[in-house]
Amino acid sequence: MTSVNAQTTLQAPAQGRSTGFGWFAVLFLIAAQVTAIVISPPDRDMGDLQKIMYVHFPVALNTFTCFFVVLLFSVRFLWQRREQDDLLAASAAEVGTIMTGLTLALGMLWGRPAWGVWWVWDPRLTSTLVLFLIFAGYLALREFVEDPERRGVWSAAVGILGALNVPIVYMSVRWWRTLHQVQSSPSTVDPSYVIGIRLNLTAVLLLTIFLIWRRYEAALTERAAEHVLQTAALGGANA
Amino acid sequence: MPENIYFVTAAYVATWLVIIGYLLRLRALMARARESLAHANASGAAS
Amino acid sequence: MTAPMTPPETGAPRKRSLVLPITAVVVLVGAFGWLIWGGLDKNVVFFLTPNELLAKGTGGMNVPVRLGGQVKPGTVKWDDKTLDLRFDVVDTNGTGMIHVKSKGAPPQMFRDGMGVVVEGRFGADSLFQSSQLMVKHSNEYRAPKAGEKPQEMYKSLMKGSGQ
Repeated sequence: MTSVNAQTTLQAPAQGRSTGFGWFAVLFLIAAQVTAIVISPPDRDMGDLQKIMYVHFPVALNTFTCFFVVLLFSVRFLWQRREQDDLLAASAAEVGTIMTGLTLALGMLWGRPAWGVWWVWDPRLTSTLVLFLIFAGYLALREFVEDPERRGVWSAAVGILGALNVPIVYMSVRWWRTLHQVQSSPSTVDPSYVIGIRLNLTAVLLLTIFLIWRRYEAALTERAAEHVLQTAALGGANA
Repeated sequence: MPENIYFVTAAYVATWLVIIGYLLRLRALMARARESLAHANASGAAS
Repeated sequence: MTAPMTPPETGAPRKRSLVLPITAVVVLVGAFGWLIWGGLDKNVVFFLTPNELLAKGTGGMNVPVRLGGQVKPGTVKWDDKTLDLRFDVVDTNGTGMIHVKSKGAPPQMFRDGMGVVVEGRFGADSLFQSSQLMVKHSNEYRAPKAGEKPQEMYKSLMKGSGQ
């Protein structure tokens, strides 16, 4: 099991390179939320409840960003077996899982007052829960497999499988009857809401990129430490 | 509906709790990883 | 991820640790397959429209079922003493009327012409007894027109139809 290039020592990332970007993302998100809340009038039907949209929708859409990264780097890992790709896919999977959990929680907080129920087993909600469970399984799997090569291959397989669920989640509201509404578009949403949605989509995208990047840096540093120990042990044995 | 404000507030509070919680986890992970790296480098140099 | 400060891999105790991942993957693949080809296919019809329920005849009666449609404008009757709520549900094209009886105040977005999904049983007396009333929102978000008080619509609907 040495075909993961364990011999090439991983380089730990330089310290604190992404912090500035992180602060920017967080401050941008605060500004985007305040702007969206202040400039938008209460909705005709749901009044102030509409304001949950500025968190629920951007977070939900950016889970897809995460799982797209998982798909991309899982495929590349299976192809080229670079350990960095595995670590990046795993980082995106962790961020994506947390954001999917948050999406579900925000959806429930919206569903109770708007629909009248916290939860309903309609295709959109069910497929989102399945997506969450698959990636929770992905993260659990990584805890249980110690060998890096094996861990990489197995999690890449689950990661690709899980990412294939994303189009199902997205299209569920069109393929099947759901309680959840179909996608809105600028033609079904008044301009006073569209600006806030766009701002928050951008803000959450930036934050998502930052979180994945930061998680990746931590994973890389951790593996770099293990590599150092390994080479030291091997070198000691060979000498 | 006055109780709407509670649901909206809960949504934003939940969002920020998750963000701040995850940022703290990342910081802890990073600190621990740097520590093990420093440790490994030290012991690696020793051997 | 806990950083396991494990000694370098020697390849000895590997067999035992494989059971869990294999189980996990099998479960995941199974769940995924079930989602695509099995379970959802059967449950694809999350609710029946009034016309579909009526077409089932007696087969659709006295069994748990979800009915989805629009609240027919002008049919909402609310009794604030007994908390009885009655209204008619129709298909989006306005046909296939079913009388629905529900208990308790509806969700705040309930109003004439709104999409609803009700869980319950369609009785032989042609009355749908709802045990759970859900409002289906459209994908539209609109600012209130000038002079329109959004949340007042619900109140006036509830008040105006009081017996």
